[in-house]
Order: sequence, then C-alpha cells, then structure tokens
Amino acid sequence: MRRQCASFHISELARLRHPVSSTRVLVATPLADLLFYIVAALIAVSQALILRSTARGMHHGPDAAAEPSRTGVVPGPRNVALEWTYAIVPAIGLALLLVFAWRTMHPAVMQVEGVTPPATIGT
Amino acid sequence: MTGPATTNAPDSPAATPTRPLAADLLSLTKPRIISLLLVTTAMPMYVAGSPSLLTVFIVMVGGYLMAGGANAVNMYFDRDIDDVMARTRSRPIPSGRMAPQAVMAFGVASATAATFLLGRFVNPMTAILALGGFYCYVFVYTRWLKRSTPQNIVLGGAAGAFPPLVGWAAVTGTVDIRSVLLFLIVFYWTPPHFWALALNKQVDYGRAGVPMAPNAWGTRETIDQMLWYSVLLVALTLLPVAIGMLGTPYLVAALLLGGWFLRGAWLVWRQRDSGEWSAPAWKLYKYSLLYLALLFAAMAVDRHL
Repeated sequence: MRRQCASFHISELARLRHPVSSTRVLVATPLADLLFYIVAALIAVSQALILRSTARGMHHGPDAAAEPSRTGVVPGPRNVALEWTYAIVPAIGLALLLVFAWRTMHPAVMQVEGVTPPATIGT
Repeated sequence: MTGPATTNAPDSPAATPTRPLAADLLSLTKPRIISLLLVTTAMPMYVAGSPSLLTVFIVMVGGYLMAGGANAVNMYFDRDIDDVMARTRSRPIPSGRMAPQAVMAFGVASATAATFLLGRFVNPMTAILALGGFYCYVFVYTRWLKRSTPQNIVLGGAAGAFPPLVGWAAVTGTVDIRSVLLFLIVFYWTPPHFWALALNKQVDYGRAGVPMAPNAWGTRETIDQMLWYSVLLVALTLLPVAIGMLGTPYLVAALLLGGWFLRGAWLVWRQRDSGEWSAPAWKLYKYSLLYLALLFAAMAVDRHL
C-alpha cells in the first residue's frame, strides 16, 4: 500500500516537474530506482579506481626510461596532502549529488513514512 | 602566416607578421572552443523551458563575450608558456602582433560587456554565474591549478562546466539539482576529453613545465584514469532519467553515444602498454567534442517531444 502511494506521488511530482508536456515518456519508478542503483554502483567503483590510480601516479610518476620518446616529463607536485584534497573533493561532490538525486526521486516516500495514507490513494 | 620560427618581438615591426586586427581579436576569444560552450549553454535553456529566441540570442552573445574575455585574459597570463609551446606560439602575444596589455584590456572589456548584457537583459543570476565561470577559468584554473598540479584539468574543468548553469538560470532565474547535474556531466567529460589531447602534446607541455597528467603521472596512469572517468561520465549521463528529468528518448541517445565514448576510451586503454595509443587518443578527442554536443542536443529534443 505504501509502495502504491509512493508511486502515485512520484508520478504526480514527475508531471509537475515537467510543465512543458504531460505526455512525455518517463521511465517508470521501479526502473528509475534500478537505474539509480546501477549509476550509483558505477560511480562508486570508477571513483575508487580513479583514487587508486591517482595514488599510483603520485607515488611512482612517469617512467621516463620506459617512454624514451616522451620527453615531456614534469616533476609531480610535492604537497601530497594537497593533491589528495584535490582528488577527494570531486568524490565528495558526487556523493552529495547521489544523496540529493535520491531525495529528489523519493520526496513522497519520505513524506508518507510517518503517515498512514488514506485507503483511496493509489487506486 | 605565422610559423614556429616566429619569435616574441613586439618592438621589431619588420619581424612581426601582418594580420588584420579583427582576425587577431577573434583568435583571442578561441571561437572554435566557444562554439561547444555555446551548445552546452543553449541546450539546457530548452531543457529548462521554452525560452524566446531573443533570450537565447542575448545569452549566446553574452556567453560568447564572457568566454572570449576569459580566453583573452588566459592568453595574457600564459604568454610566457605560449611562447615555448608549438601549439600556441602563433597566438597574437607570443607572435608579437599584439601587446599583452591590449589583450588584457580586450578580455576585461569583453567580460564587462557580457556581465552588463546578461544582467540587464536576462537576469542577475545569469550574469553572476557567467562571471563565476570567468573567474574560475582565469584564477582557479589558469593562475592556481594549471602550473601546480596534475589535477588541474579535473578541478579546472569546473570553469568549462558553467555554461549549463548559465543557460538554466537564464530561463528559470535559479539553480537546482537538475542544472547541477548538467554541470557535473561537463565537469566529468573534461578529463577524458582533455587528456586525450594532452597525451599527444606531452613534449609541448613538458617544454613549458606544465604538469599535465601524462607528464607528471605518466601515460599509463593517465590512460587508466581516462577509462574510469569515461565510465563515471556515462553513468552520470543516465542520472537525469532516474530522477525523472528526462525520458526514454534521451536514455537511448545517452546509451548509444556513451557506448561509443566508452569504446573509444577502451581502444586507448588497450594500447597503454604497447605505446600505440596516439591515434586512438586523437580519435577519442575528436569524438568527445561531437559526443557532448549531441548529448546536450538529445536532452533538448527529449524535453520537447
């Protein structure tokens, strides 16, 4: 019942968010949830791999001997803490985006969590 | 016209190649780069609503002046390294065709005109955001990050991601999660796009002492990160569908365009140990330009279907 209620509210809100046309082809809520989970997982994994690669790059730097034709080696920065800050700030931004995206998708769920919905809603 | 042999000789007219001033002023604005910025400004306007043609026109003019001004000021601050890089040696300042102070004045005047135009004829939020992009490019990227960290393109990419915010604000007068999402799409598009170019310009950047990722981290780590950033980017482009901002037509376009982008990044990644990554990196760089334009066009089309 609660799920039906949430679905009703989300679809209504989706229509309200799109005043230009009410006939647009929007993805159904369960599918949207699934899409969100997939996106969140991909973002988490790729961000972790980016951080791992950043750590390797900071510690090892370019292998000039292995790349004799690439003569553009520039010494990396020495302030490791600052470099980590630069690397982590975008990751925090992404985490915040996912939180706000989830809250945008489920405002009705949060509203009805503590309220018993009327029996007629969602029918 | 101008070639690699041209030196920085503003006091010797005989050595200064002749070129119409208008052509030099236009080149200061980097029109080819701005054309993509304008696409990522205009399309969000149609995602946000149904703007009048006049509003779109004013935002395009204001956006061009602001971005052009930022590019000119960038050339002023980077005049020392522009002179030692083959790619930038023929620009107006290093080639001696324009005085640095004149270039700075042109950039500031252009940005000032843009601020007035957007603030007076669109809305204050649009002008503030456009000016924010200007400051981000000039001070955060050019003056702070570019010469100090290999993360310059990652964080500095924020400057190039302002246009969707500007376009959105021009229609709605505000910024919300949907416009921030568009901002982040451009933000995360920037590293694989620019590093595909930087891979092929390592000698240039090395000569100038700019710590671009391939120069400071090495090609292997850079190519690794290009692939992971590409995965992240394509995932991010699906989020507008999940939050109900865009629909199925856009989802199909994002998957097709993103799939091709991932293929390009994969082809570069596959050659990371063989050293044969140059050609696939160039292909990825060129495709990334088309990708962003088509992705944003798909957003606008979806919104008005």
